[in-house]
Amino acid sequence: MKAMLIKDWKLMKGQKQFIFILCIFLAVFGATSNNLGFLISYMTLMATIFSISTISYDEYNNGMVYLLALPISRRKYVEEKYLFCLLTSLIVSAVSLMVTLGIGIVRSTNATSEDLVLSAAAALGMGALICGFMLPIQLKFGPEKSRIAMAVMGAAIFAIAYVMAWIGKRMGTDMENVLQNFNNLSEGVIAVGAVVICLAVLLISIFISVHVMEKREF
Amino acid sequence: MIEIRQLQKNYQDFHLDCSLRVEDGMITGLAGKNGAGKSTTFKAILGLIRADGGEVEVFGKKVADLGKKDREQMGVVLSDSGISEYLTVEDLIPVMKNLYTKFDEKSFRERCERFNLPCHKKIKDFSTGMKRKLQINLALSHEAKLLILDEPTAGLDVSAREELLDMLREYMEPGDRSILISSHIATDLEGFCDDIYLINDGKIVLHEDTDVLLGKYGVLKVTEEQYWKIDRKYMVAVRKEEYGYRCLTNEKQFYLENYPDIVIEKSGIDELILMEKKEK
Repeated sequence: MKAMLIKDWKLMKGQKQFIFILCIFLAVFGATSNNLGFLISYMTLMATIFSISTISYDEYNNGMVYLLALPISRRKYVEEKYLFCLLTSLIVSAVSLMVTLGIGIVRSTNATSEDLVLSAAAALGMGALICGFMLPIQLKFGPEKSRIAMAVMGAAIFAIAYVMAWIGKRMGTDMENVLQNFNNLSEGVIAVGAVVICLAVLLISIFISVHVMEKREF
Repeated sequence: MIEIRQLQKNYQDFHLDCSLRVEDGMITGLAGKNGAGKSTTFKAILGLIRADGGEVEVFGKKVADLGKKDREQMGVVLSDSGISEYLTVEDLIPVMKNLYTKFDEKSFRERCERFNLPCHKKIKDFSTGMKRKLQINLALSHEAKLLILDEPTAGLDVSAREELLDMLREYMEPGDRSILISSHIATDLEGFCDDIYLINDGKIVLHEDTDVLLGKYGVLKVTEEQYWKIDRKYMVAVRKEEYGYRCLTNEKQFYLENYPDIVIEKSGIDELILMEKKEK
């Protein structure tokens, strides 16, 4: 697995232009904006999506066939990809947090350390969810078709939410009240709930991805 | 090293039905025209496709049961695929070190120099020949017991091909190693392999030791009249030509001795492939 982690790290490092643009964004936004929480989220999510794109580099020019002819099992490939993407999210959110904390001290912004830590944790959770949804789609449909699949999935989620709201209304349930009830939950319950949801999504996603890869023919 | 028993694979317009063996210490060639089933056979050996029937064993184990250690004993060159082209050769070294316990960095770097492979250039900017040389270098870099080489000489010029074949001969020196190789360049196989399988439309149509193939096989060029007069029992394939018939025989000597007036030429693998393309 270490070999594949190194490969993905080298692939990401090779995309200097993208990293450069992210650094520029971090510098400009950090110097001018007061919304440092957004900066953490943006950096983390961009890095997560970037790390997921290493699958496209693996697939480029039929490269996946060669990779799987090496001493790498399909299961290990999937596990490594999740580990790599989550590690990237974790490292970038941690670095962004450090940088924004530094900016907060230098510029005396109104964002508290607690707010920034919460933003980093939320960004990390979002990163995990993005990995959970995008990785199986990327592995199943490849870099080209997965864009269409993502759009279809987005539309499906919207449609499901709409239908649920409509059914709720018909049954006399006020969705605003339901959402308000969520807001009334304690921070501890929300945090634990978020962690449980992220872990559940990731575990189901890994299971699906392993299944997709083991079924795939090259 | 490799044993394939009645491997079956069905695609919409193609059916593979293949049996072959690669013995310890032997170099076995797989020849055939494009689309004959060579790459499909290689992919089945590497577990990249699921067989619809039959068995494929490598090192005495079913392909699905091969572990990491077994896979480390295999070096691979694939005709239509390679390592991620967004990496550089320098990037590959730590990857290979962590992938293969016996990765020999020194000899890998030496071969990079010998092949003029730049270490800091992205592989996607390499020429076709350079990409092929890199794959071969990677396959030779970890003391594999078995090399599976699908068209390793494609894209190489004559001198690079000779250099590669010499390196593969050196690789075979310990005596306990084997190679399964395919090539559309027949002379590569003729001068290199111990035995050759010929595959056509997904079926193995011929298996012979290379010496037998080159020594006993020949091409008869006969007129229509001669064709009907001569004994045709040793003819393997026949093709109609403007002057009469072009016949492939596996008993060249028989015709040399009994029919001194007909034209008999040497046969090679190219001839076999060409004849298989036409009517039998």
